[in-house]
Amino acid sequence: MFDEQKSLIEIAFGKKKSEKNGQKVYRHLVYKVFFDVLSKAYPLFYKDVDKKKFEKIVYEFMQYGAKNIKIWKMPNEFRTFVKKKKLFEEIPYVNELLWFEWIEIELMMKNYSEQEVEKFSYANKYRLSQSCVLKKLKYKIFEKGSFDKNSEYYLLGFYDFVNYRVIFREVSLPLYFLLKKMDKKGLEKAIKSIAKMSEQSKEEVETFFLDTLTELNNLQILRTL
Amino acid sequence: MQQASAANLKVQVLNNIKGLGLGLRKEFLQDIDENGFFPDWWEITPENWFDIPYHHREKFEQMISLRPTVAHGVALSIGSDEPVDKKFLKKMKTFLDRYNIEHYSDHISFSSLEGMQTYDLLPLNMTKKSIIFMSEKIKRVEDFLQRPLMLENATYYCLPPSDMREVDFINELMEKSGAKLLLDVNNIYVNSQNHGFDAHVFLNELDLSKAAYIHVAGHYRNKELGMLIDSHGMKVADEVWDFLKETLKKIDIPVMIERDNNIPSYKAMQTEYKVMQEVVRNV
Repeated sequence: MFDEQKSLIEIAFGKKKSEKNGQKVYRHLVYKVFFDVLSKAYPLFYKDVDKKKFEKIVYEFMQYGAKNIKIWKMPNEFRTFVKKKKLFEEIPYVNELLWFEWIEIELMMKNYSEQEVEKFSYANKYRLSQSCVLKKLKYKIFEKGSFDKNSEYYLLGFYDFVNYRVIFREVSLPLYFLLKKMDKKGLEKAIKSIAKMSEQSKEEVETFFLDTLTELNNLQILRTL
Repeated sequence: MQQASAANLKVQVLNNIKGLGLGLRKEFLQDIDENGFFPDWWEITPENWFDIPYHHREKFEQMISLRPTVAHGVALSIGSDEPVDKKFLKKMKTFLDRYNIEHYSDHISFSSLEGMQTYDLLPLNMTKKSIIFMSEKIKRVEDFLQRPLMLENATYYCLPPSDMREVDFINELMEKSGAKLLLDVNNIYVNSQNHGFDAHVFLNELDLSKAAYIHVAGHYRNKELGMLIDSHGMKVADEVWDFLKETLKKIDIPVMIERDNNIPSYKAMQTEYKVMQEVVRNV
């Protein structure tokens, strides 16, 4: 039984050929599921990519194996497969674009719990909330028509609890640094670190970031410990 | 071979589930007005609700608190020739317990092997050996979940080596395992057209005393492949409504419409639900 089941899966995944019409149906149906999920999850990438090559890579991915029973997580497995196998190298920004499109899905799908927003205070301890991501990028994949612009960008993505959507915002290097450091070492150490680097007092740095941190706190990007 | 009685067989397998049901889909949630149309009960695909987006959770929980709900899964893969995936069962039990869902079903098929997911339902060898193997697995699932398992007769487009007819396979599997049958009349119709047997004869030979409730769904003809495809992506065909009528003359159990692809508006589903009401009323 095992060998027969394995054989049918190999036919469905395009690894083995079959002349039997009924077996071809499974190849058609299983491919359709993978194609639909991936092309819908990665609309920007799919628009750019060579369609024949995409089909070929989807088959390779099916044979490699999607392991998660939650079908919505399949695009992330595809993304890591593309990165690991160094596929689509003709698109230099492919890994960042796939990350960008995937992270929107992930931030939408997470099981967030209700939390009350407390007023921001430097006296409190904060970390980044699971409703946000912060990433340094080489390509401007968050701006249509500028994907291949190569520089250094800092991107903050977060779930908007009011309008139920994911928002991406380009942030400055100092804010990126502050948030990264805060997430690892706490806000106080992050402020001190920036003060030392910029040769300013702690109070000056706190004043500089107050409005921004207040907004991020209100957006539940900061999580009070 | 068991023949269903000509008299209307009334089976009450599901507590609280009576009348006509509808698949609750994420796409419907924001359109459902709590003072508007509701089916008698909901069916949900649990794997699709293991992670509930923040913006859907409150409405989802409200909906399933307002109507009895059954869970119809797609990823159990009861027929795969390997042990039950305990990690999956744990997730399923947590979900079913959390929402106090008593009734859970999946399909007579397999969908994964060695951890590789197909996200589709693949056919089984219809053999005595499969029945013995699956019956053991079914018991393990029921023990773990602490609830009975229902299994749906699935469509198949090719038949792996088998020594039994489908109807005998299903009857014997239900008998040996003690599982109840989720009777999908669209699947019987689709299989009968694709494999050239008489759906009415099949129905007559099926042990309907094991049936818990009925599924109807849409299918389409794929000309290139030369087969009917059970897509759950369109309206229920007239032939399937007729076949449902015939089935309901033999057994009086709850019925529901499945729709998993090309999801229309909730209003459009309401229209199809009314067709189902009319069909059931006229039996």
